[in-house]
Amino acid sequence: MPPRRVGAAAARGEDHIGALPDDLLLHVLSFLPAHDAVRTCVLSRRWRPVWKSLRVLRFTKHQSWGSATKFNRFANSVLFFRNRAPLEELTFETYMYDAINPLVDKDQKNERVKYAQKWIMYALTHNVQVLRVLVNSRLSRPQLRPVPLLRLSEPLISKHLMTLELKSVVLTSNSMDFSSCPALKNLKIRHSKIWVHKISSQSLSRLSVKNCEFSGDICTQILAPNLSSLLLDVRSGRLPYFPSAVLLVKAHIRLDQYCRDRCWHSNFEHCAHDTCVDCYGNNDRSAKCVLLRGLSNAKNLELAVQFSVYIQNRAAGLNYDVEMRESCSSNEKIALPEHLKLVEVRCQKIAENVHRFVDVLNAYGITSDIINIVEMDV
Amino acid sequence: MASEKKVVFLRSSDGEAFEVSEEVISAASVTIKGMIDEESPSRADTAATTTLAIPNVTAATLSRVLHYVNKHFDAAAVVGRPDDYIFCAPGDEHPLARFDDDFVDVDNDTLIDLVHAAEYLHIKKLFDLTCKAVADKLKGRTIDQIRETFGIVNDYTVEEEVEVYRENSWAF
Repeated sequence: MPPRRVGAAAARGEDHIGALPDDLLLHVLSFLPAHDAVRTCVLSRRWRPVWKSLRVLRFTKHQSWGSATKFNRFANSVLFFRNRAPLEELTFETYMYDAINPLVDKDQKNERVKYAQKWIMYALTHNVQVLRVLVNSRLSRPQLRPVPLLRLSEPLISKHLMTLELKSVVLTSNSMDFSSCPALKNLKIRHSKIWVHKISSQSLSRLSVKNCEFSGDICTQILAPNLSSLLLDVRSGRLPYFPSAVLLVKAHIRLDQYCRDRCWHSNFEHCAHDTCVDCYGNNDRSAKCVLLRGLSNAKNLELAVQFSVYIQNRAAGLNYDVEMRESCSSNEKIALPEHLKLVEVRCQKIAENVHRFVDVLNAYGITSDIINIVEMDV
Repeated sequence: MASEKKVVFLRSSDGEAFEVSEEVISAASVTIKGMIDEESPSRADTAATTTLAIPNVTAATLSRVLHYVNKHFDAAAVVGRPDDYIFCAPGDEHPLARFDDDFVDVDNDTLIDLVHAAEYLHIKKLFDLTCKAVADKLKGRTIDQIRETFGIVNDYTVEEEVEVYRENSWAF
């Protein structure tokens, strides 16, 4: 049968894109959201089977489907009808859950994450290297935090997984035990609740924890001896700690005002409350967070602290506290890591207390040439 | 000798020769690095410069490719790249992002030629950049718009077309 229709451009030239070999065409399609990639099947006969061999699937633009059920049907159909080729990447954003909108009932809420565990399993059994599980939810009042809908409690098992990204999930039990993921290099967690005893991986080299809540009761251990870069932004809960020093090159740490490791009397220097657990409750050295010790190899450490969160280090018999109130005051003995090459002090206003803090740093051998003072916008 | 910057010449399919630093092109192109490594035992003692034939790439495309390569792979020209993705703030832009945008802002035929050249020369970054640029022309477009843009002929019969839509109805 001869061609039925010929477009204007087709009349002028040839179909260069259709002439690309399958490998190249698949590489082009791998940059598209899954629905755009799959829909190319109707373009012409050449395109009909191509999408089935896609090794990168990104289920994004969820809202364009109009309902969670339709979006789920699409994702499930793609996984069902594609050929069994291994996957390089699976990314899925779940259909948006609007916590402020009261019209959404419970069934609809669950519909959004109904197949999430199945898709994760599918990805792992198809040798996925990059897995992104992005749960979408609007902020809930009053804390204005995303509502996590999906709970992960089982460890992942995959020889191929290299990058894992999680958004708005609840991590409990052994979910952060990566002993069965020997290739894992990058772990990125956002807007999640991390309620685990351990985050452990022998192979992990980059860890990014952004806008996350840790448990108020458990001090999460981070066991990642080969970690080379770390971004830790803790919104609330107890600070995680490193039981043994890691191979850090770069660390960026931000501790927010709801962190559990702070003096709630806002008066750490002269806390008169004998019952203050945060100042006096850890003489047995049991539950104190010792963040800095694990970071002693860091060549570039950025520490931003709100209110009077404090960080203790009892390494090698040293016992020092660093307290930074609104990022700019300090007291007690400081024995900062000797490998430190840059100390950045961020504050809302360069005032007297910032200069005092710099004096304190100077007194402990941190010369002004490695101290960088940055004034932040409020 | 070692301190002197070595250059190689690349001869396009239509016979034009382009000069490029050996160090830069070796860092960029796996294919050319392989060719240079193969050549090197025979040219170890001679001062003669090497000319490599690139039979699959025209002068027009090759000159574009070398423009890209000199921007991206000349270590002296590129400093402080935020490659470490987890530290990239949302506002952080790759210093060469604008160059890249302009580079792929070309007609379809030129772009497809660049895809082929990047693949043949095995320049991963350029291959990804050009394939992504092609993908951007497909993204969010209707089927008719895509056919129009790339000159794709709809060779389905009416019956076949109905069947394809029915078979994949879950995708629409």
